Amino acid sequence: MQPLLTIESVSKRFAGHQALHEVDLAIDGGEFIALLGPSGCGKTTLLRCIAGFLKPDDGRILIEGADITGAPPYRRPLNTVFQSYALFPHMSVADNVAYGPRRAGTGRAEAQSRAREALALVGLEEMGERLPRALSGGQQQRVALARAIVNRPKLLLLDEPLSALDLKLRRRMQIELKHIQEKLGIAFIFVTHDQEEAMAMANRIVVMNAGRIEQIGTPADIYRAPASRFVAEFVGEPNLIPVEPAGPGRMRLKVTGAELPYAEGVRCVMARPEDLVLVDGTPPADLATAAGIVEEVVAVGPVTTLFVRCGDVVLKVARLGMSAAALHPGSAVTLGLRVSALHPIVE
Amino acid sequence: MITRFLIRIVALAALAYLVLPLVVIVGASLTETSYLAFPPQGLTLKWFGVLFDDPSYVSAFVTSTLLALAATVVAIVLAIPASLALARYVFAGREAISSLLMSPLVLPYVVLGAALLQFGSAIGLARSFEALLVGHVVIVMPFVLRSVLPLLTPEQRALEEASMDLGATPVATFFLVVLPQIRGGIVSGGLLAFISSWINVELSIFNTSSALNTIPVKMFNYVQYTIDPTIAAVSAITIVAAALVIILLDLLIGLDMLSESRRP
Amino acid sequence: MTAPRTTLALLLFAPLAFFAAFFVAPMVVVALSSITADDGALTAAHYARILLDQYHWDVLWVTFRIALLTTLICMLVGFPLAWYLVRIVRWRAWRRACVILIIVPLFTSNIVRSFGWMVLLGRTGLVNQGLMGLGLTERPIRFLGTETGILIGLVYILVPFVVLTVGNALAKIDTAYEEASADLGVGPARTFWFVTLPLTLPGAVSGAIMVFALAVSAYVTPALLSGGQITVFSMLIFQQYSSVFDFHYGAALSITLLVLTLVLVTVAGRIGEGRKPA
Repeated sequence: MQPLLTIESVSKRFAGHQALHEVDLAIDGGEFIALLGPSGCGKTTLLRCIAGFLKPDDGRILIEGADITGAPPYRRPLNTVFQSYALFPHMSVADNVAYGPRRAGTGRAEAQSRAREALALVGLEEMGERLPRALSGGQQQRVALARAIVNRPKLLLLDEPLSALDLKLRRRMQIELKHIQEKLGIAFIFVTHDQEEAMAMANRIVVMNAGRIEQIGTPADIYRAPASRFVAEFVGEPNLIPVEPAGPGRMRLKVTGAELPYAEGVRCVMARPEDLVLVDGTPPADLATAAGIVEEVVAVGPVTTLFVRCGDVVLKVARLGMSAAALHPGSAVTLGLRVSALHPIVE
Repeated sequence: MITRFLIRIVALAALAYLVLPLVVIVGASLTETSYLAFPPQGLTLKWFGVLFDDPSYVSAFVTSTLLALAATVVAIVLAIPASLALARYVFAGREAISSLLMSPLVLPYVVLGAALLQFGSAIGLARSFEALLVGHVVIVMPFVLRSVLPLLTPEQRALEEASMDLGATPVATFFLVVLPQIRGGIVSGGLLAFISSWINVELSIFNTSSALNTIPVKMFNYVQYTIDPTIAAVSAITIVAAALVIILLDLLIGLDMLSESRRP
Repeated sequence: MTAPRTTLALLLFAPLAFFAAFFVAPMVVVALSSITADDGALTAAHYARILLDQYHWDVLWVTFRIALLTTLICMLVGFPLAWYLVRIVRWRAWRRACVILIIVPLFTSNIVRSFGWMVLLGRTGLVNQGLMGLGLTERPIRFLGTETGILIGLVYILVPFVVLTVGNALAKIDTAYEEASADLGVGPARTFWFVTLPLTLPGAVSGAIMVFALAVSAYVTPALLSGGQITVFSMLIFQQYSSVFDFHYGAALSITLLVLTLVLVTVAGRIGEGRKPA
């Protein structure tokens, strides 16, 4: 089956700065894709190329096989939710939402009734007569969403749509957006720099850095098996443990002395903080152990993180709840880690 | 406290200084005497009647008003695309073009007037309504540009993108989204432009004649030789008109928008 | 968007064509005519005539002296008024009324405003009546046809301009700077001197230079209030075009005034841009 959106080696330069470097990407209908990366990584540039606000210097963009690389934004079968929402301040909420259908040639009454439907979908059917500025930030966000889906596009682009909301509201909107996406079956491309947001919502995450795609994968892939040191460090809190050669085809962990099969270009392996445990008494046979001294204890409620020094490496150890808070800086502990949970980082 | 008191005194004196001549003119236009007197001797509106019976004044009023209206409309029509280009695109020569379009604000009008007379004589345009019009368009266009440009912000740009994203063509976007957003700037810039054209002497004086005269130039020529209540009546009309426009502006946009430099 | 070059050309064509035809071209005509003789040959004679004639230097000196004094007095009158409006007035309606009072003159023609002073400053005008009534002078003082008269008129026309620029700069100053200064134990006078004044200075200086440039090129006010007794530079230009009909010479005078003004305005712009508070 043909992908919904195909991006073929798209490049874009801005005055001496390579914003996108031969980016390739294919997206199927109904997918929820997160474009994740630090600011300046090119994710917004890529989104604006798809929307038609920027023209790539090289490469092609196709929707269901049709080349739309040079098409103006108003001739593309997709819509955008803007970071600033970009609601027309001189129009009522209902007129904002009816704007798309009206431009597509729908009659006034029909457009208004479709606007009411879209507003009902986001729970704002009562607000149609108001002006956008009379709404709260969260409500404006919903209007922007209603306006973008009223035409039932095949693809919806969302440019950091939740970044202006406070944390609690943001969490709620993440779930709600996900539900709406599943209900409508529209493919979403969601730009964000917040890795938790990307993991909470997306089926697939595209991690970008310096104008290139670093990795494409499910949230679990990205988290458990990062393709590069950048991905490992950008997504979650990694422990990067150095390794050294240990005879033919083997390498050894500097901290525990455990041995692993050697892989080309690997200079460290990653363990997530929750992969490390504190060991009392005799460790199980499948655990490699190392002695360490607690340097710092950070307890934030659900999780307590210990910073443990083992030789010249400081490892983060995550424990559920506040129990580990009983440990003090200076306590001697034994760390255990399961060798099978280690992921080699290729550089 | 002493300092505050002194500042108060100086400020109030300065305000009085600003108002005094205007009060004197309006007052003197109401005198019954045939010479200028302030405070007025008796109260009458007869000098305004004399004014409106004089066809040369009436035609000068008409010329001035038509000229100011036409100049404002042309300036708005030219300034809108220019400000869109300057606000929306980065291109070589952008700074130079912006300086060129704004420069009439700071050029001596006398020089511009002389230039237009000399140039107009060369191409057969001198001392005509058209010669006046093109000069006035040049000097009032910066007012419109300066009021419209600050409204074309990145946020405004996002609105245009949203409009096109929702399927509106650039033309539809201009009329449905851009124009409603910059209307305030067009109105305030247009009023400034109208007034600047309506009160101009330095530029007009080179291209007017006894048959084609604007009110300020006619007054200028008159005042140099005669001072009488008629001229006070003309002046009073312009003062009242200015006050009305300002109150209108204040109600429309609030005068905070005017707390920036303006050419006197 | 898709073809910025075409869009740009479409947007800029009409305004640029208009300015080229009715602004740039006339200026070029003047510039050319200032360096050519009647027969079309290149000559510097017109400029030489300006530079070598003592009369022009006298006129320039008078023009500059008046402009300089105008600027000084404008600052002395305008600064306190701006301060009063921004910092002292608490009642919003009164501030609004004051702003209207300051702007009404700006919206009134120079002639009307100068004419008002012609009436006020006459031998039997209100000013002389007042001065004599207060016993400050025995006989009426002559104002019209003197530099004092021109000064009063020019200051009157340019003060609103200073009040608006300085007031704007004052209004933009975050009072946190002054509070910080007071918090560090500095008294009000020294806070004004070391904090407030430096922050308003760029606005005030560029405002002052603009006032100076406008005063140098002023025509209507000096023409009306001089009563033919005093000549300033712009009057020379007008004479050449209206009564002497020496366009070449008039052009050279125009270009001189133009260059002078442009230099002043550019300097003002630089000062206004630099040293903005963080």
